[in-house]
Amino acid sequence: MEVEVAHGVEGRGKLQKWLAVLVGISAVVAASLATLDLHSSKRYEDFSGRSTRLSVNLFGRIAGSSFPFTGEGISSQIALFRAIQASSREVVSTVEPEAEALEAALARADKAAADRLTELAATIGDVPAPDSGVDPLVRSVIGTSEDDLRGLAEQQNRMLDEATRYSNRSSRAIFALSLVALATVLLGLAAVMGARSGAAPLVGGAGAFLVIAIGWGLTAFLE
Amino acid sequence: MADVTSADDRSAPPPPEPPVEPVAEVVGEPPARRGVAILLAVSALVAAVIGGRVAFRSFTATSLWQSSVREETKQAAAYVEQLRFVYTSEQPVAFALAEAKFRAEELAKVAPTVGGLDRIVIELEQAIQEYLSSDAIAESSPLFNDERYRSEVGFDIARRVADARNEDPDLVAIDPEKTRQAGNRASTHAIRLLATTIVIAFAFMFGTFAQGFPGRRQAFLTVGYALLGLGAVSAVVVEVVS
Repeated sequence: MEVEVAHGVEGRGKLQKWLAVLVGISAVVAASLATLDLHSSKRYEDFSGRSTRLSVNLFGRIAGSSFPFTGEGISSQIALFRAIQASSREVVSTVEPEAEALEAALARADKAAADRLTELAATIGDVPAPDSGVDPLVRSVIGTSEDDLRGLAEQQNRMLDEATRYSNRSSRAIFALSLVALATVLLGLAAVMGARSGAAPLVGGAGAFLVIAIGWGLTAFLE
Repeated sequence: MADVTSADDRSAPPPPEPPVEPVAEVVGEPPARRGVAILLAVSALVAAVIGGRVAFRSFTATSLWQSSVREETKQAAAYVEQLRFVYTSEQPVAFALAEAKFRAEELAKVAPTVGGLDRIVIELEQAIQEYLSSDAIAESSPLFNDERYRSEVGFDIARRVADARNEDPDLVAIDPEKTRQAGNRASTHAIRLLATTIVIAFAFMFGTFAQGFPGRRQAFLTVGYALLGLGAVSAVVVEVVS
């Protein structure tokens, strides 16, 4: 369209010159806004994806780290019950002379077993050593601390905020791009109508749309 | 009235022909117009080609990022299930068996210290505990029964976790961050490629200027073609480097 416009109107007055200038500027503004939109939308997609992944990671770590922790806790309780039973037998051995030898012997056995169980229980919640053969990810999951979870939650929220920011920026760029499209439609109409048909208001309107589009596009950077 | 034209009228000279524009101007204009038309058309064509390539790379980036989310989910589901199985299905059984075994061993140590009926009671209890931790029952617990997982304190649960993980190496090999990085590269490629269309849009703009301002047409055309070349070269460089 622009070729024909330029071909038909070259050098024929101020209006046609404005037409040529505005068409050229429209092309540059459109290309710039399209690049801004692509950049913003890609950043939005990246942050949005990372935010989703962090949510999955967060819940995975909460669940994954709870199993060793719970396993160690329950096992320690069992060891403690065995130790309490040993203590009870010791008490019984002092108040029941007839059962003294048996209960004292059972108490010693239970006490020793309880000590070994306590030692074993403590290893259940341990983070596997690097040479254990457990992959780094699962070692990291098992070793997840409260601070790690809080940090992940903050990071996830931050990613979500960034995604929202870039989404808004993209929306602004798209709106500005729509204004440029309107401006080019007006310019095309003005070119078709020609200088004698009162095309000046159309060219003026297109210029106004372009100015607004540029301004609106710039506000995207305020996001 | 058949013929009203007089002899004088017939001998009158023909009316003057309209003035013809100088030949040089007629011949000189078309190449300049063609130059503008070619600049505008090639600019639009190059921008369209770049736009197509940008769309392809942009889609690739989106696809890879979505894959990274799916991989993260798959990876998390895998390690949560594997840890759940080892720590809540295998470990409690193994710990109960270890308790029976420890008690049997400790009872065997104290049995000789007592005599008579007390010793019989302790040995009976020891036998029960040995049975509870015997192979017949322990077979249900690889963590307790398998030689590979034995340790000084009882069993090595970390080694069992490693084996459970390595049963499916494909799940261990999942790397969502690597996939995301590939998406980032495709995205950066697309953005840089699209940015080169700004230069080409400037070339287009100078083409329209050349048409709107014939007095400076040659200068505008020169700048326009230079920018078109720069934009095209930039696009090629981005394509090669990215």
